[in-house]
Amino acid sequence: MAKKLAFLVNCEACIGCHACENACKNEYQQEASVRWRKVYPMQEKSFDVPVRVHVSLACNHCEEPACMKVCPAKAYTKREDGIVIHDNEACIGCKLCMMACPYQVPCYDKNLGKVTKCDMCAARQDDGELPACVKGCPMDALAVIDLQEEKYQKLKASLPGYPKNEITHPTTRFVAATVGKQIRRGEE
Amino acid sequence: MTELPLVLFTLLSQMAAGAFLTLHIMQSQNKMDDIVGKSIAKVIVGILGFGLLCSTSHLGDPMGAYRAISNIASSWLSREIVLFGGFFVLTFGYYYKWEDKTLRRIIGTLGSFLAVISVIASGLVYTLPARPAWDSPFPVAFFMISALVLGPLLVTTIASIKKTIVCKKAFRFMMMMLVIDFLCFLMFISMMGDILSMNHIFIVARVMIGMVVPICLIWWSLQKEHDKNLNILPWVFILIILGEFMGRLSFYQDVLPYTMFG
Repeated sequence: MAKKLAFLVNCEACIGCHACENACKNEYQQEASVRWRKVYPMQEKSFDVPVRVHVSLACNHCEEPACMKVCPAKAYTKREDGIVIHDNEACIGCKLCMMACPYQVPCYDKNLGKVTKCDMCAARQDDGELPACVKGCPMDALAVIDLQEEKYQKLKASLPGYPKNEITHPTTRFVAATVGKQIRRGEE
Repeated sequence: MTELPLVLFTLLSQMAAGAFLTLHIMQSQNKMDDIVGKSIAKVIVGILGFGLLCSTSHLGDPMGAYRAISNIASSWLSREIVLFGGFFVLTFGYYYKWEDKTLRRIIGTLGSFLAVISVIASGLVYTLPARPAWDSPFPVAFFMISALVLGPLLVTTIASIKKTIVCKKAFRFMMMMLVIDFLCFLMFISMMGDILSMNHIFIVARVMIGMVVPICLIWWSLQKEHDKNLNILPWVFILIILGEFMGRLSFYQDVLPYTMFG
């Protein structure tokens, strides 16, 4: 059976240092405004008690990619292993994929006049290497997993404040941060 | 103003679709002078051609525009381009074969059908689940209403410039469409207001300039005699175009995506 590759984001381990973003930009030398991976701070109100949690996100390599569906130039393809690839040569820069992606993943590169996005470092992975972001994370908060493996089946597919999964069925999985218990004077 | 080419394309293509439909209906019922009709057909070809050219200028790679028809199987944008391309060919044929009444009637019927389908396809391009305010029947409804307001307006304005009598029925139809547009817009704002980033002054200006004032002007002109109606049309045309332009800018700029962890 073919693999179903996905990113695993460990929010418990992530310290929001943006090293993954820098590793990605360093690898691909993109235009300044292009960010294939972004670190988001989660809202404190998402939890019962105030905690600081960060989530590092790149392309979710969705099971039903909206970008692939709407692209008029067939610039998107989904590999057998689940990686969604964007072909720069085919792209015409219409930006409809940017409107269609609920996770704001595709980025417009004004120097190229084309949209670009994370391909999970497919070329690196084909050479047996880890994606740049995974390798660059000092906390081991990122990993590439095979969703076909049973041990990953029960991982969370969403977090508070994350757009609803039903639209594109993203494959990214999360280890949620442990939220401590707030003890007040007089409470057991 | 980065979406200006798309604003122009949607406006002009919808105007051309509505005008073609109006012209074909009026021609079929012998309610349009042949010479005036031909000049209107020429304007429609020009407007649609210019609109299609505008649509390519929003692309990062305009020379690759031909590749935009590669994904007809699933992309509404590909379908829209193919449909409007076909519609352009038919509008040109309609004008070019104007003297052949049988062929004109056949092309007119086919073109009218394609005009309606093309406008629907245009609306479906924006019916995206990732943009909650668009993920509704509103884009198709707004585009269809725009075509049915702007099309008859263009035809009657050109007819009035050519000093042809414009029947009151056309005025009543435009007024009815403007009222429907107004009601649809109110419904849209009340249902989607919290997921839009609209400026309140902009909303009031759009409604007043593009809907309320033109409705009042048309209603006022209906009370007058036929030849007095004509003077009002270019003003109504300018106001509605301004209102539609503002509405379209807001359509592209104020629809918010889902927030990430917001």
